[in-house]
Order: sequence, then structure tokens, then C-alpha cells
Amino acid sequence: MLKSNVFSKKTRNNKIKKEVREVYLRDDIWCGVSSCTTCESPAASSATRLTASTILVVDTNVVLHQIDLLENPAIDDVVVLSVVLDEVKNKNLSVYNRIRALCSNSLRKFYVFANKFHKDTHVEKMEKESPNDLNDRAIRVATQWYQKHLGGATRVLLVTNDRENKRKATEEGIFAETIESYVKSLEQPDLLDLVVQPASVDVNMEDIEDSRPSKRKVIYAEHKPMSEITSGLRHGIYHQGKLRVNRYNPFEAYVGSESIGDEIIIYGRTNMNRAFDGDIVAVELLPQEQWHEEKSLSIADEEEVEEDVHLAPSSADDAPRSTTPVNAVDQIPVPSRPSGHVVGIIKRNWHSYCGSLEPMPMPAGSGSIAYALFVSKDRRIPKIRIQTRQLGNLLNKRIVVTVDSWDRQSRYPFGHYVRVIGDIGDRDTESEMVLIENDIDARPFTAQVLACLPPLPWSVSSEDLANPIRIDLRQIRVFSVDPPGCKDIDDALHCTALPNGNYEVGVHIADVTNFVHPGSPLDDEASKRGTSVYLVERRIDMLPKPLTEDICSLRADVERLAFSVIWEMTPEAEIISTRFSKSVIKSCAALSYVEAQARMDDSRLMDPLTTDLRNMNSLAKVMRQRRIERGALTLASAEVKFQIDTETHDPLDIGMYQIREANQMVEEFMLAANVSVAAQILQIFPVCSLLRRHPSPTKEMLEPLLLTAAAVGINLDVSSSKALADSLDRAVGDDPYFNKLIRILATRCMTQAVYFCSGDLSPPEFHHYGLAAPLYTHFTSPIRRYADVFVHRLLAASLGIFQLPTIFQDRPQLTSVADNLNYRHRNAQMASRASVELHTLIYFRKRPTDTEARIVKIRSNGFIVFVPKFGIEGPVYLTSKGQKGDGEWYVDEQQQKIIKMDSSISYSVLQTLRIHMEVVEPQPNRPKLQLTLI
Amino acid sequence: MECFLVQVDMVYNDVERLRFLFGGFVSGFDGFGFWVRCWVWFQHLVKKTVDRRLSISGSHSYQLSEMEFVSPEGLRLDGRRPTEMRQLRAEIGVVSKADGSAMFEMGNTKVIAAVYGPREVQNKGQQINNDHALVRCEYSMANFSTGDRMRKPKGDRRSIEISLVIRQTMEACIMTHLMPRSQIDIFVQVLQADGGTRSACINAATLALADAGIPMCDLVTSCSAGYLNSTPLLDLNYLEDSAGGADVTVGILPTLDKVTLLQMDAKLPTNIFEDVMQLATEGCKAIANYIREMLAENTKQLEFRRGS
Repeated sequence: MLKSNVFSKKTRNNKIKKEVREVYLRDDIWCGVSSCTTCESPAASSATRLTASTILVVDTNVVLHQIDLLENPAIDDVVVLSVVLDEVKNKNLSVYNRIRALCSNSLRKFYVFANKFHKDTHVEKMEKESPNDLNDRAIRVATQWYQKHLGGATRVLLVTNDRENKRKATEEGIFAETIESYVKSLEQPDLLDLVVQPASVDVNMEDIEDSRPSKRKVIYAEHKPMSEITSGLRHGIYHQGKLRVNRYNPFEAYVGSESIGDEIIIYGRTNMNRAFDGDIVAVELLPQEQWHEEKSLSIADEEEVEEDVHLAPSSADDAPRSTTPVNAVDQIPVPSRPSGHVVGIIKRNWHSYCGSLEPMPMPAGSGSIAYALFVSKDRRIPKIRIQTRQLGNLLNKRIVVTVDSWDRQSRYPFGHYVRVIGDIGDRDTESEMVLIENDIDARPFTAQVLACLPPLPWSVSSEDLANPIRIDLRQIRVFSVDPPGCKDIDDALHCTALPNGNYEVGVHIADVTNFVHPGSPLDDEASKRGTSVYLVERRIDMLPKPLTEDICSLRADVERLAFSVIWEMTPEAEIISTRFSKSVIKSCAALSYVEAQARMDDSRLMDPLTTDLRNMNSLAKVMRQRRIERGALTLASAEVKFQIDTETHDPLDIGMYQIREANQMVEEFMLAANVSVAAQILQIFPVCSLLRRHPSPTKEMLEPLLLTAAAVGINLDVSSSKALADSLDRAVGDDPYFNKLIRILATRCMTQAVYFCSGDLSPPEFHHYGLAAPLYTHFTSPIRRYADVFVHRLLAASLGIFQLPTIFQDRPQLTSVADNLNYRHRNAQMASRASVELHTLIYFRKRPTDTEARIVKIRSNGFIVFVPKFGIEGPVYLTSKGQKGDGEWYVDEQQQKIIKMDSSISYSVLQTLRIHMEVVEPQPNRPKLQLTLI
Repeated sequence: MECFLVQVDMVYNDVERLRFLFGGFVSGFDGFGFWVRCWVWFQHLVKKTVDRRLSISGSHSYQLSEMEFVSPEGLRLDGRRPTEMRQLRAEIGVVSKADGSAMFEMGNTKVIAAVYGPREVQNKGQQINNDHALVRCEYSMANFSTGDRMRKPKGDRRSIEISLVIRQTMEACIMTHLMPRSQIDIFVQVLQADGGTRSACINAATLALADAGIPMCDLVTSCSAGYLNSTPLLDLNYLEDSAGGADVTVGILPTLDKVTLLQMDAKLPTNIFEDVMQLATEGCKAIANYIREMLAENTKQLEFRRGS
């Protein structure tokens, strides 16, 4: 049956245009109920079938607001109508993705009924009917159809919270219930907590607020209507941008605005006006006399705000945001950075947050509804008010909470409880928090994914050997050098002296793409995960264990498939020729860095393997030297390593990670392999290669480094990476650690390297600043990074061995893959850091320690110190929190010194001092490390 | 199946079109001025082509690529399944003055074709080959055919291209050697456009030619297919057509099993291209069946009217 859908549409230049679209109404759409005999069910056995005696039909608002509830396995047998899906998609894409995931999950019984295209449930717009009413009617018609279709055997229940809709439904003889009453009828009290209270029913909220008189009045300014915001943006009165809350001071936020080309600072919650971190907001600038900024200079200013002890940042992206250029204060009276306030929120970035409830006395009747304040682990998020019936259960738990609304009268947003993670203080719980906060999927692999693995035990087959694209390198002395205890060995090396005096050097990388085929569930899962995540006590794999630890791992004395890069090099490490090929190798030794180093150092050993190692090492040294001459930066990071108790998984000892010559040797060849591969794939696929670039740091980013260096009398030249590398080499102080400290400070001024699609940028932008390489990519760790898998496919296609997967044809999709990899990579790093921080805390809980520290930053009431031994950084206060700004101390900006008023004591940047470290718990459930001066 | 694959670069194609359009007229024009105009126009075309290429690579297509053209339930935006065609409708003899005429509808795309001829060659200069009939084709779009009523200049780039495409396609099946020194004019006009206009035009022209009783070796039919959301889709409507994915238009001679037209305006990997083309060919065959039925019906009615 053919129907036309006529509607009016506003075009981009504000013309009203009539659109006519055909609608083909069908009679072959299955109702999705297994007991149904009239419909022809599709042959596919995978199709969802609803079996229960009650079938739920949900309306749009139920899906939009109660998605957490729907995700709970207790709710099942749901018909999701296509009108509902469309509306959800228009309103909130993330909820849409979640409901779609539910519908495609074979374990859940959610069925999508395309009511729009069914001949009996298609509705046409009536005169003067609003789109909302039309949708509601469509939902009712579909429900009624279901009821009639299934007869008396099955009860069809319309779940809607819309009063009008429910009334009409009842009039039409449809069973309709609100979500609350339905959930109540299930008799599972903990489910009720998942139900989001609609704002209109929220009258009793006010009662709670009543007890605190100050809360009754309107706290926040009203958000401007969208039309006003749009016109304001167009006239340049408002500025649009993403709000980023200062990680170290939640009362301060930044909005990067393109329209004024600068960041707008927003002070205080009132000015932030209910905006969350990550929201797209419209900001109005404050008059210039209100642009205050001295506030940001002190470590802590508003009520509970203070800096935590945390890991030393490894790049500018992790570091606390630099405050305004400090020397600007005494020279220019007018503050340079504009400040503003939020007038409207264009797009919310609400999602779920982990944390715990603020301790509160138990209300009299247990089991009744109680209101509690939720404190997020992420300090950028304000407290969230939730309603719960199981307060006693939740008080000492870590929980996940979602935000629902935030009205003008309440100081805190209103949300609802989603689930419990575990007990507070429990190490597993806290570790899981780290994973959830960083959006890392640590669930076991699904059966579909595991089905893609080759059967075990796996070994190289004769077909692999006979395959003409694979060269047989089993006779060659290949070995691997990795950290001790490494199970996922993805690279191996060989180095053979050729008769002409040159060397044949090979880098062999596990041939992961031989097992991970594009488009398979395994590939999808890996691309979603993006990278393996290394926490202190566990590893979350990107690929299932049999692949990472066995089939792909280039272990000693077994034949393995590899993708090899083979160079002929002169003894001066000049590359004469490069070739790439798939291969079969048999590693003769899996060495650890320590072992390899010991072999090289032991002059008595003259066996062929050791000779190979020495040859490689001398080549690597030349290559490294050449790279440094080109301007590659040798940066330092304060990586720490834990020794973990094998039984309890508690940290026993921490110390800095030691870097040996053997590490550098392997690193050098990996870099060379990556560079060679990058050149090869870019040559064949100039617009769809996946590369990695490292943008040059801007002047502002290097500012804090220059200031610190100037204060200790060192002049750094930052005009190019080469100049910076040279001046870093010259920066040698009287103590041995000084140079490393400067390098650590330099590292954190850099941005992070990112993946990108070569078609999105122009060749000069491909540059990798840190390595001083014009081209770079990741090829050498396909077991733990998806980018490498991608590059393997590109390389194979460039050699004509395999066909290029179709995804490479689609540039936007390629860009989104690169973006996802960057996001995952960054999250993995953040999670590792958080995990190390967590274990540092556990370590020091039992062991208050005195140690040596270095001042890295001066503040008005103290300074930030860096503890080299443990790689952590945190504030030391000179004045106690209550009395601030009493003028006892003053800061010399030029010299980067903090001096006592009577000039008796002064502390300057990079000075060494001894501090005491101890875990304290000033706020319940938020233990932190406190540093005090001895 | 034999394939006459023609690969032409866009800009080169424009030059070709220029030559086709003006080649015959050159003698009648003032040489120099004509070439200047040609050059100016050519520059304009090149610029337009480049603009269009730029706009394709811009952010616009990115947004569209996230759009769901086929839902996970396997239904397209208008309720069809991926391999289903829009509703076909046809009428023969809609323009009584013409020697043959037909109206052809594919969903909301509605096209009318009128054929005059074979008749005496009107402009002798156009006749290149005396042994064969001269086939001319004029394609135009009615001003009211799209939602926004715009006055389109006659002979814009697009319609010239489609005119050429239709002419070449029809020429392949008309037995021109049977009608020397004569000319056949095919006029097609789009009354309502909703994607797939060139397929509809070819189908309408076939019907009209058959109605005019012009000898043909086979009925040419045409259908398009595209590739969106990793699914080959048959008979794209305007919404799907403007999504930026590949759009393959195929014209076949169904009984001879030959391809006379093959166009694609994007890139596709060869294996996928084969699937999409296969689908489009299936579509053409379905249309051929329909057209044959229509003609049989029409012939029956003619017979009935004649009273034999």
C-alpha cells in the first residue's frame, strides 16, 4: 500500500519548503511475539522473540528518562516502536545508542516494531495535531493493534508517564500504567531506585529544601531560551564553547571560544549556572572590572577546594592548567583573560558518575524514601542529590549515579542511583571505579568474539608455510627483548652480518591481522577497545587471551607468524634497502631487558646471540645519535613501578622505572620500523593512511618551563625541537638529578601525540615533534594497540597481499576511528595513572614516610613539590587553611620564590627539601596523601 | 554479460559535451567569438566541478554518513526493503500529437516522453551519417518538478549530460540503419523529480519509441542502485540519492543481455560494485517485464479498438 507523507520543512536559508515523501506500508512485518500464529516469523533464529504473558510498550519519555531501568535485566519483553526510536534519536543520541544496543542484545527481549510501515498501525496526521500528539496516538494505535492481534492470551501494557496519554489510552481500552506503578507491581524494591522521578512530581523535594532556609530562594539565573541564544551568538553578545572545569579547582572553569579566540574563565558555581564539565554552553562576558584573577593564584580559595597529591603529569594535557602568566600581574594592571558567566546550555554532557554518598544519619524508618547527597570521585562534578529506599545499603558503597535534572531552586542537580560497584576502600572496587571513570570496557569477551579465534592448540600449518606471500625465516636467529614477565610479546628482532660487511636487520611483529579479520565481531570489539589497558595489578586486554598470550605472542622456540620489516644497513646504520613481508619465524630466545643487558655487558660471552645483540646495540647507538642530532627530544618521565604482593595484590614497594641500554636499543629499532612503515603506506595510500603526529608545543605551553628555568639561571631555547634538545643538554646543575628534573618539567609542557587520518591534514602537519620525524605511525604492537592492527592492514594492502578493507574508502569513518583511538589511548593512560595513584595511596596508608622532594611551582600560600622517588606531586602549605592572605609570606614572581615577611626563610623553585608523607582522611571516603614540611 | 564500460573523467566529459553540442554548429558561427564563449563556459564548468568536489569532501557528507538509511530491522526510510523497487506506473499515448508518447512513474518520479519521427532531417548540417537515422534527444525538467520552484535555464550542464546519456542509450537499440536520411526526436520532460530521473526517462523513452512503432532490437530499460550503510539499495529516491553514497545507473537490453549504459558517480571497491550492479540489473529486468506487459496490454487494446 502506498501512502504519501506530506510535511513542511524549513530550509537552511529559512525558506519554508513542502516535502513529499512516499511511505510504503507493509503487511510482512512480524509482531515479534513467539506465541503469535498469524504472523509469518522470519527464518533467522537470532531474531528476538517475546515470550512473557505481559508485553510492555514504552513511550518516548520512558525510554529517554528511564533507560537505566530498562537496562536492568528485570525489565524484559518490551516492544520498542519505531516512532519511539526516531524520537529518541532526535532528542538524545546516547540514549538512542543504548536502546539500540538493548534491542540487538540477544540475551534481552527487546523487539523493534516498525509501526510506521505496518499497514494497520500507520497513522496519518490529523488537522491541528501537534507532532507530539501524533506520536502518542501512533503509540496507542500500535498498542491497540498488539492487543487485538495477540488476543486474550497476552496482556499488552502501555507504559507511559504522560497523564494525558494514559487517560486517552484507558478510554480506548488499552491497559496503561505509569512506570512507577509498573515497577512497584514487580515487587523489587531496589528497582524503584532506578526509576527517575519526573520533575513535575517533585513536590516533596521542596520539603527537604525547606529545612534550610537559604535554599528556598532561586539560586541560579534562568537559562536563556534557545532562540535568544542563537541570536545572541550571531550578534556576538554570547560566545559558544565547551565548558571544561578545572580538574584541581571545581569552582573554576574555562570555555574555549572560537569567536574571541581566547579562553573565557568562569569563576564559581553561580557563574557556571548549572553547567557540567563537557557541556556546550553559551557564555556572556562580564564587564572588564569584574575580571578578577588573583584568586586563581592561591592553591585553595573556596570552601572545600584544595589540591590533591597526584602523580606527576606526563604531558601538558594531564597537568593542572597553568594560571595566568604570573609576571603579568605587576606589569599590566588590567587582567588579560576575560571572564564570563554561562547564560544557557546548548548541549548537555550528562552521563553517569561514580562516587559515594555523603555520610548522613539514617532516617528513622528504614526502607522509606530518603534523600542523600552523592559525591563524585571526579571532583569536577558537583554533588548530586538522589532519592533512595536503600540508604543503609548504599552508605558505605561506591555507586554509580546519573544526573536527571537541575532546576534553579536547587543548589545541587537531581539524579538517580544506577548500581553499586562495591564496598568503599576495597581495592577491587576502587580499581573498577578507575575503569568506569575512564570508560574502559573490562567485561569478558562475548561468545561471538571468542568464536572468531582459531581452535587451540594452534600451530603454524603447512598452508601457512606454503603460502607464497609468507617468507620462511625459521632458520634465522630471531630473538625478543621485553620487560621481565612479559607474556604478550609482539616484537622480535634479528641481526645478521652480511658478507659485504653490512648487516641485515629485521623487526618481526606478531601477525595479528592474520587472525583478526576486518568486520568480524573480534575486530569490532578490538576497534571499540582501541588499546589494552595496563593497571598496576591487572591488564585489560584488547584481544582475547589465547591470541595475546599464545597464538600471536612471539615466544621462544615456537613457530609463529609475523609481519617483518627487513633492512640492509651499513655499519654506520645507513639504511640501504627496506623490504616488508609476512613471514614465519621461530624465536630462539625471549630475553628480558636485564638479561639482554647482562649478556652485552659480559665480555666473556661470545656466542652468536650475544654478538647479534652487540651489533644491534652499536647500530642502535648510531641511529639514536643521529636522531638526537636531528632534534629528537630525550624527555624524561617520572614513571614508577610497583612491586606487588602476589597473594594480596597489595603494593610492597615502589620505585622509579629504570631504563637500560637494552631498552633503548629495542626502542630504536621499533621507531625505525614505524618510520619505514609510515613512509610505505603513505606512498601507496596518500589519503587514507593512519599516522601519528605530535604537534609542536605553543609558546604559552612552554611558558611555565621557561619561567622556572629562568629562575634558576638557565636559558632555554625553545625555537625548535633541536634548539630545545640542545639547551636541555646544556642545563646541567650541580646535582645529578637536576637535568632529569628539567627534562621532566619539559615533558609536561608537551601535548600528547595523536593518531590521524592522512587525508585530514596537510603533509607539514604530519610532523612528529618529539621524535623529530616527518612521518610516524604505530606498527609494532598490534597485540595491544588497534592502531597497529589498522596499519598492518594498510601495509599488507600496500604490498598487494590483501585487499584494503572498505572502511578505508570512507574518510569520515576513518577519522572517527582515529578519534576513537585517541580517546581510548588517552583514557587508558588516565586509568593507568589513576591506578598508580590508588596504589600509592594504599602503599602509604601503612607507611608514613619522610623523603626528599623538589619544589616545582610556587603559590601564594605554599608550593607544589615533586617527590622523585615515588613520582608524585602535591601541595605543601605554609599557612594553615583557615588563615590565608595574612601577609606572612609573599611571592617573588621573577625569582620564583616565596619569602617570609621578615626575610628569615625563603623557598625557591627547584629547591630540595625534606617532607613527611602520610595518608589522611579530612573528608570521609576521600582519603588523600598529605605532604608536610619537616 | 558483455559490458561496454566507459570511464570518463568529469572535466574531460565536459569537453566532450562541448564538442558534441557545438561541433556541428561551428561553421555557422563567427569562429573566434565562439571559441571565446566556449572557453569562458569551460572555465565555469571546471570551477563548478572543483566546487562540487570540495563540497563533497567537506563536513556536510560527514553528518550524512551517520544517518541511518537502512534500519537494523532492514527497512529503508520509506518502508521499502533494500532490494525493493518503488511503485511503477506507466501510460502509453499521453501526447496525442506526437507519433509516440508515454508517461512513466517510479514512485514520486514522474516523467513524460514524446517521440516524433522518423521524419525528414530538419537541419541538414546535423546529419553526419547518411546511412543511419539521426537520433536527437532533449531532456528538460519542468519548473514545478522539484519542491522549490526555480526557473532553470534550458540547456544547463546537467540536462545536456542527461540528454546525451539518453540519446546514446536509445541509439544503441534503435535500428537506425533501417531509416536512412531521417531523424527521430525524443523529448523527455520530468514532471516530478524524486531521484532516479534518468532511469525513468530512459524507460519512458523506450515506451514512447515502441508506441511510435520505431524498429528497435530490444527494449532498453534502466534502473539505479546505490550503496549506503554497507547495503546495496535498489532504486534510490531523492533522499537516498543525495546522501553522498555511490549511485550506479544501469541500462540493459534485457533479451540480448547487454549493457548499454553504466554510470556511477562515486567510488566503490570492485567486489561491492559488482553486487550493486547486479542488483541494478535485476531491477532493469523487473522493469522490462513490466514494460512488456504494458505494451502487450496496449497492443491488445489497439487491436480491440481496430475491431479485428
